[in-house]
Amino acid sequence: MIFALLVVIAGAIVLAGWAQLLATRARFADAADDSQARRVTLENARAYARQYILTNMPSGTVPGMTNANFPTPWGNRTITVSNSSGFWNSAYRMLVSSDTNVNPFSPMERLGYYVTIHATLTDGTNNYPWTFLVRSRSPVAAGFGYVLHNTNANYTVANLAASTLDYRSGTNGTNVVGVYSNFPQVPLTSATAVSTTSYNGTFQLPASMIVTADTGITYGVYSNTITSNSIELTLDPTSTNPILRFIVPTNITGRTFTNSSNNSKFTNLTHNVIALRLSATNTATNTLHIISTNDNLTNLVLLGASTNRRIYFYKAGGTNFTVSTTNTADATWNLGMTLSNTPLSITYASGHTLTIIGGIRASAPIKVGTGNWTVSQDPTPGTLDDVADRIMWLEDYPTPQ
Amino acid sequence: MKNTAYSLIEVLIAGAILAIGIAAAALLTNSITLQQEANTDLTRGLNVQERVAKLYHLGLATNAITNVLPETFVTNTNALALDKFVLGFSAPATNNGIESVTNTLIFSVGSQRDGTVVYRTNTATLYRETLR
Repeated sequence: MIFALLVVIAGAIVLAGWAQLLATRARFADAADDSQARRVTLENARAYARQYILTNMPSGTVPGMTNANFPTPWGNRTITVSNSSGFWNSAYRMLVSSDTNVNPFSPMERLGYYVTIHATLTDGTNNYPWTFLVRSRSPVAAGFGYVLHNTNANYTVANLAASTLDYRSGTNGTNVVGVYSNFPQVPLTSATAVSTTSYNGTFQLPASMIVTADTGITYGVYSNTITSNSIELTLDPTSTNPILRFIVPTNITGRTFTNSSNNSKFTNLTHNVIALRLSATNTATNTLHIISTNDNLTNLVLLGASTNRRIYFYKAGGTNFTVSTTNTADATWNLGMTLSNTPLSITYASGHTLTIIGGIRASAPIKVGTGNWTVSQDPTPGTLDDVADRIMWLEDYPTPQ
Repeated sequence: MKNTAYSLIEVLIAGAILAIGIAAAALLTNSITLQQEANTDLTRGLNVQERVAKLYHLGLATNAITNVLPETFVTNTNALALDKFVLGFSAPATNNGIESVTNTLIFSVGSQRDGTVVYRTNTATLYRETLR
């Protein structure tokens, strides 16, 4: 009898535990329903906050930025900002270009901005402190190897199986779609200068911000000679620490950038920065040939062995853009690129590795044709700051508690 | 001599009680199994919809989201099955600079005793910034 009772008791315990387990799983489904809605709501609130900041902060007036309560259907998201004067206030500016008086790609000339905004977001049930960082420094100059901007179309980083990222390593694989798995947040920008104190629009080249070279800016004055096969660049030997900004003539195509003479003029230059720009109207220049057996990009435009020279390349529009080389050995280039709506393909010698010290900022697919490709963080990105774009850069993260 | 065995009546009564208990447990098991399947399907459907929302927030075009997700999406409920989903988006609207769509996901949430599959329609309003 006692044995029978023990069996009954044990059976009852097992049945009760089983029933409890099933009940718990049933409650989990209900809880998942609620938690999913809250997470989506929080992400909606975050999107609204980002839009609000991108829209209002550049105006300098920031109307209603303090304790802004958003109406339904946003669910009364609240953003409480730490400042209300906008980031054009001198308190938030910083000197970003020290080598020259101005940055030719910045509407704020040599100044940049860095503003921290503290906000509170809600998922409908709980409130979460959130931090938004608004900055003007180019993400490439800030050490982000790849920056892919959201567009209405897919962007891809294709054929990266043979490539590596030394910084902010991304997703490897073939035809990978989307951002990298370990990217901290979705990077956003707002560009197109409407005036010197206002931005409005989506990611574009800073073409409209570029001032001409004859407005007193200490550029390296250049002349160029275009032959049937090449474009020769010549720096003014009297300029010191110049920035060479070269705007490729419209509709030129298939040329080689080189300098076959006047080498002595460059020997005293300690800090050359070369910015090449292909505007949206120059859609014919799809291929930039780099002829060099040396392992630094100085040979692209200037002959010489200085590794201090850096290249920043801009291009907007066009069906495709290809960077290729005749190198048959591993090479390292100091290179930053901003490509707007231009698919990029880098073709390198098969079996060899091209290392790009700098980064690529793009809003269109990036593809490795042949060879291997590595992007690494620039250990001294200050130089790139001189010529990198100054488009608004917004990051956000939950405030640590 | 004292008779210590159970009588036939006692055994029959005990057997009947046991049979009732077993039958009840069997019925309960069947119901719980159906509920369990429903819970599993519901959790999976919610997970799919949350990933849809995440991809939308990341900026993907709505017509590209189904290409990214590994699940099988069909275009109408006639082709629905236990492991398939119907995903729909409303035309995007812009209000206060925010783009919004209503996302609708139809998915199975288990089946009835007669085998009829039960479907659930879940809607979520998604917002994302137009400056990005």
